[in-house]
Amino acid sequence: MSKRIRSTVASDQRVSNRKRRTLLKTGLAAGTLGVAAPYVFVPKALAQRTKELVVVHWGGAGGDANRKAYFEPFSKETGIRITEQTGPGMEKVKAQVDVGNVNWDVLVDIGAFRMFQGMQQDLLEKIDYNVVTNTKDLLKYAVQTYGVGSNVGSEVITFNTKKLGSGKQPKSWADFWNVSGVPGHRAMHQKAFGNLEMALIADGVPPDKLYPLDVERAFRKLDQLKPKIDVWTTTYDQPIRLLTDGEVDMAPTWNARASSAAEKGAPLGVEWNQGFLYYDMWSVPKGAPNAKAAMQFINFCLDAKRQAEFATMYPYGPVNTKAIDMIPASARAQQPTAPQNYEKQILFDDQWWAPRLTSLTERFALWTAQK
Amino acid sequence: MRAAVALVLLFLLAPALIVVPLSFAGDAMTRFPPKQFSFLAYQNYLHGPGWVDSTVFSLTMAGTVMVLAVVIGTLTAYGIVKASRRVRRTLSILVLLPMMVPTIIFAIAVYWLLADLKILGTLAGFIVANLVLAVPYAVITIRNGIEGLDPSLAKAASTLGARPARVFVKVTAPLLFPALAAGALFAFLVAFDEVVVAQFISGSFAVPLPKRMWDGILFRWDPAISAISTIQIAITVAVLVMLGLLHRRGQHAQPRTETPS
Amino acid sequence: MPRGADWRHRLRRRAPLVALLPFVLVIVLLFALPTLRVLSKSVLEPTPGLANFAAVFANPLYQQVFWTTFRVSAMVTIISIVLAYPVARFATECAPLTRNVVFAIVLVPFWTSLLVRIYGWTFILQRTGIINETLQALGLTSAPIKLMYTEGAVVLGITHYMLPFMIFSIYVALKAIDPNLRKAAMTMGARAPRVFLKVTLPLALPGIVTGSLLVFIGSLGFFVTPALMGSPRQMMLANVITFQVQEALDWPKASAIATVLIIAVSILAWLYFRLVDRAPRLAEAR
Repeated sequence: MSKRIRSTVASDQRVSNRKRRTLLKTGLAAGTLGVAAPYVFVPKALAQRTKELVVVHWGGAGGDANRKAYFEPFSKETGIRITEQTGPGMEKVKAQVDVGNVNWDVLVDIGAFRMFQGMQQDLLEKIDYNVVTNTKDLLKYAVQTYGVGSNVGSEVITFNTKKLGSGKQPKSWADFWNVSGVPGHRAMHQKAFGNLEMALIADGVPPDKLYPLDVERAFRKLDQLKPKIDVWTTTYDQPIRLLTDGEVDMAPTWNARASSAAEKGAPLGVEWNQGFLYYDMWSVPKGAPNAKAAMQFINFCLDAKRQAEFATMYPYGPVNTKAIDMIPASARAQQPTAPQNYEKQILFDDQWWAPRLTSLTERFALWTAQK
Repeated sequence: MRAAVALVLLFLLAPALIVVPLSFAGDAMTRFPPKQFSFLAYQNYLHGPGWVDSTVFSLTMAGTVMVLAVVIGTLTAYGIVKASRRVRRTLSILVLLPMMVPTIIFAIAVYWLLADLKILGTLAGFIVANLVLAVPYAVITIRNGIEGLDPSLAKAASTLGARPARVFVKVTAPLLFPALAAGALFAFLVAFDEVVVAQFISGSFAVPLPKRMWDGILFRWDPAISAISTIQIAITVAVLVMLGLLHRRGQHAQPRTETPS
Repeated sequence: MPRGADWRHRLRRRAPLVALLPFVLVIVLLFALPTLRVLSKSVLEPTPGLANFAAVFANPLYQQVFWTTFRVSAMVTIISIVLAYPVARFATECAPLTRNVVFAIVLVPFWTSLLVRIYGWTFILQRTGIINETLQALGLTSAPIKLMYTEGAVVLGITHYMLPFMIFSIYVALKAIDPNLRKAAMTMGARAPRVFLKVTLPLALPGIVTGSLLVFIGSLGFFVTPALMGSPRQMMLANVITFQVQEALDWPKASAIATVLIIAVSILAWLYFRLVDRAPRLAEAR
């Protein structure tokens, strides 16, 4: 009996031996393949780096306008090929700079306060004003050390024309706060910058006495409105959707987004009074592989005619003061920098915000997160 | 119980039932239910900037990750099951680690790793990053399957004279199939759907589909997105129905086996 | 015993460890070391010390966020188990074609991008959405109910994403159960609920445990769903970490928050394994 059991046990062990050995061989093969693979797939050789420019934009309609007004003409004129990527977040610039492997050349349409933030963390190149010479007609604020203005956008009260059209819309931030006088569902963006200013204006602070902001007063005024905010939006597209769907009746949004949507049939209108003017910038990451061509590109884009072309496609104001007259009269009404709109608006102070952006945004987040 | 099952399935389908009709609505500035019918979404998908490229990229990447994850997952699962108790416990925690670390932190970590390996913005980089994320799902699922195996079935087969490879192919693998398939599926989907790490490690020519969709949705809704979702749903349904029909044909060919009581 | 057999014995004993090698390499080289590099920022920058952790613990927002995250994940897990079990059970008992249809339906959300799903849910749940319009049209309510931008909506959104994981995990475990076990118990006189409690449930438990782990840990990392389906009160840990990484560019603080999360989850996982190591395996149940 014992002999039979021993041989069965032995054959069992041989069986599991062989099973393990087969597994082992397969495993080693797969493992070697897996480790070797990265070295076999050689990344596309970025040959002739000087003949290529990597620009990073936000996509969407703005990206399309950028392409038609700037990227394609630039390539045609200089022979430098432009490669596009999307999502120019400063955290990605930081990742690249930290690791010493920067592959972006131009950051397109980043908010001025982001540029200031990037500057503070030493993530940007100084603009070479020996190459960027097209500066004489520019709005003063557009000429910065670490960035050049690309366009001026406006954060304005946007409303659903079906519910609040024909004069019933909020015409000021005080109206926006006036829940009984101007009834309707409201949304606001989950951010501190801009919102504090809105509160102070609504509280009666004259626009030229806004800065430095009285933060406590702003939060007190916001406390009044908080219970009446139906939605705190977190993406820039959300308020447009909410307004289009009729989910809310009024919300601050950016004028170009509202105009785009209205053109496609959404029942949206904007109120220019007391809108806030934000600058978008072109910047160059520190250590960009083709910084020289980047500066050339920026200079190219400052041309009045090209700026007018961009603004006609996507209504953010050109920084070149000569450009506004080149925009067809019908489109001019949607421009933040058109004289009739420009005079009603308030310039946002990015420099005041840059060192306080993080702490105030966190404070705002805490404020919205609590009852 | 059937009612409960139906309700849960309805719950799972609900958002899809909204998106599919939307994909035929043209530019999504209209409210739901859509008031017009057009193929604009599908045209945007086929002719738009990079949608098809991204689809191919994502399928290739996720497919490779799936195969590697299942191989490593099976080896690891066997190793864990046969190892000593202490090794088993350590490995159990180790397997969970990639799932426990917030993805954005891993995104930064893998960014530096890929930069060092010089494979940033490439298919290989994506495979490396997503393999780490996918393997735990494969290991956990396959290990579950192995632990559910009845060892006496394999032993019975070998005492009846079958050699180990045959035992594996004829007895173990078919029993493990659900677990292997589930592990493969999870690995594929984790890699296919991954968007946070993709934000960091994408290059000009390596843009997976979810990143393109994500950028589209956050910055502006591109109707192509609803088209993509509808296509994916249609493919899933088609593949599974086909498998079901094949399986049925197979069953008719073989006599039904009965487990000895 | 002949000499040559010695190395075979050693290899056989080591085989499990060799099988584990690829995984260990992947985890250590491609994951652990790079991640530690990032997490070490929490104690090394801006100056060595625990200042970042002190800031995290002192901040009342983070305390709230911490509890919200774990509470939401727990709810998602429990609800997933309840919803998944009937579907998994049904799938083991029905005809193959029906089963494939069920799987197709379960996979449909899997194939839909998370953002697209949230978009769909928004249409269904919002104030002017399908549910409210239907309820009002039927006369069941006179005013819209607030469904969207609540914790319930966030739980719903995350559950919707995680449910397929739970369904498949439980299915895999149930599939492996010999149907004769249940028959045997019944022929020995046990009635259906007792059979369920004493036979089916213990054998399905590994699947439930696996699914719970995947779902709970997976839920902790969500940030899109709370951001788009919840109000700011539903902020979860991944939201604040993302904020620190993207907006504040404060990576040391982000690492500190992440480290706290990882340690908390590790402790929970360790406790879980201690409790669950005793789960009966099929072999032992015989």
